[in-house]
Amino acid sequence: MKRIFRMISLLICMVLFMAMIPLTVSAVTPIDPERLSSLTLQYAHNGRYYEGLEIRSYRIAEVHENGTYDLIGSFREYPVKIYEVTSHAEWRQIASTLAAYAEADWLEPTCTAVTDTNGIVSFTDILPGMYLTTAVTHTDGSAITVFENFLTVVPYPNEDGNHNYDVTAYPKCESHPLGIETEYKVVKLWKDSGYEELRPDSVTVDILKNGVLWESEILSSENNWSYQWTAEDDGSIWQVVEREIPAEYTVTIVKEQNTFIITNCTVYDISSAPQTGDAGIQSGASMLMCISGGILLVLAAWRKKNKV
Amino acid sequence: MNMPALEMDGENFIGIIEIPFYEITLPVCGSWNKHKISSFPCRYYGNLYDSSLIIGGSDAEGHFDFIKTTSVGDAVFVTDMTGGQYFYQVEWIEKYDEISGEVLMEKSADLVLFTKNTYSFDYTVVFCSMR
Repeated sequence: MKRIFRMISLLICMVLFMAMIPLTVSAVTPIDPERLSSLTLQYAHNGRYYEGLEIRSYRIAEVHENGTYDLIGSFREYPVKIYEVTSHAEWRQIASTLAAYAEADWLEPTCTAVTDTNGIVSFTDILPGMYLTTAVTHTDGSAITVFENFLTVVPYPNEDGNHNYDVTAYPKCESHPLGIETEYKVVKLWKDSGYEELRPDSVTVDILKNGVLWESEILSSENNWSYQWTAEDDGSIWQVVEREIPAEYTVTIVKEQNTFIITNCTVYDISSAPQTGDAGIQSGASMLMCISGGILLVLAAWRKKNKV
Repeated sequence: MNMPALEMDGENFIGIIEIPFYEITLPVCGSWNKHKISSFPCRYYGNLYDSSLIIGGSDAEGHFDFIKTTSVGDAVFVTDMTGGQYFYQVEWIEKYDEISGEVLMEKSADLVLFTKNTYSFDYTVVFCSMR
């Protein structure tokens, strides 16, 4: 019996030991947050290079050695979350939301330049971080080409776990005819199921045309939280921003064709971070340790009882 | 009132459904066939103009898989073949072990989207109201 007890104890110890061995090994090189980097952007489409575009980039977030980001400067004041982002769509929404506020509040860009004959701008000796480059348009008489807002991370991770501190990006664009009378709409949506009492009675929305305030409107249940206006599509960039956002909400601003959707999500609805593979293994190891410890206690008590 | 349709590759499409938050843009086939929904969502019943439209789709990635994570307040756009765009908001979501036309039509909603969940064998139905 003593021998059996020793074998069981040894087995439990082996299980405990194996549970503590990390089953995954991280090979990612730490980021150097102070290393001078570069960001090169080429504005081209269908073999055409767009010269003379004024490009504005904002360093909206600093990066830490472990690859996490924190909003900095004026961008920290906007209720926009950049964590727990899992899709390209969400990144686009973050870009459009922060770009709207940057324009509305006349924030100073980190770097500006004009594209050369190859449609290229290069920003050198910049600090690592997350950069927002705002939208630009090009008109050539009958059509307008729009390069949308986008985010770039510097450095950019390589597949081998290292980082590329000289990043090149190729913004996407779309074209459409000019001169069409267009109906625009801004709509307020609430994602606060169960917390509806936190909603204000109304919100104020600023409508901007080419970065300049066009008009302010109040949205409420009386106007179904929406407003419409008509303007000729002359290549102007229309944006909307929400002012005085309640503290319990974050904001995203999305443009779907000619409709601007301002969505307020209650902070109480933000789900906890999804389990990563490592977290799963750690929690499994913890369970093994608890079970093994419990078995040891039972065996010890049983042995003591038998001795008595 | 019938919805105008565009024929492509032998199928009649009545519009496009878009869910911006999930970057979903899909053509909607005008006639219901559960064997086709793996390719594109299909109209199960109704039409856009009298707020009776019901669309069913596959829960495969890039199709109606967004239904698993959508929540009240999400925006949905349906554009018909004349270019008319209709804007909806998700009002509530329900799960059913079985569904039928009666179940889908009994609720008062301007737009209904549904999918069969591959692994749990039940149905998720999203009810939307027009904005």
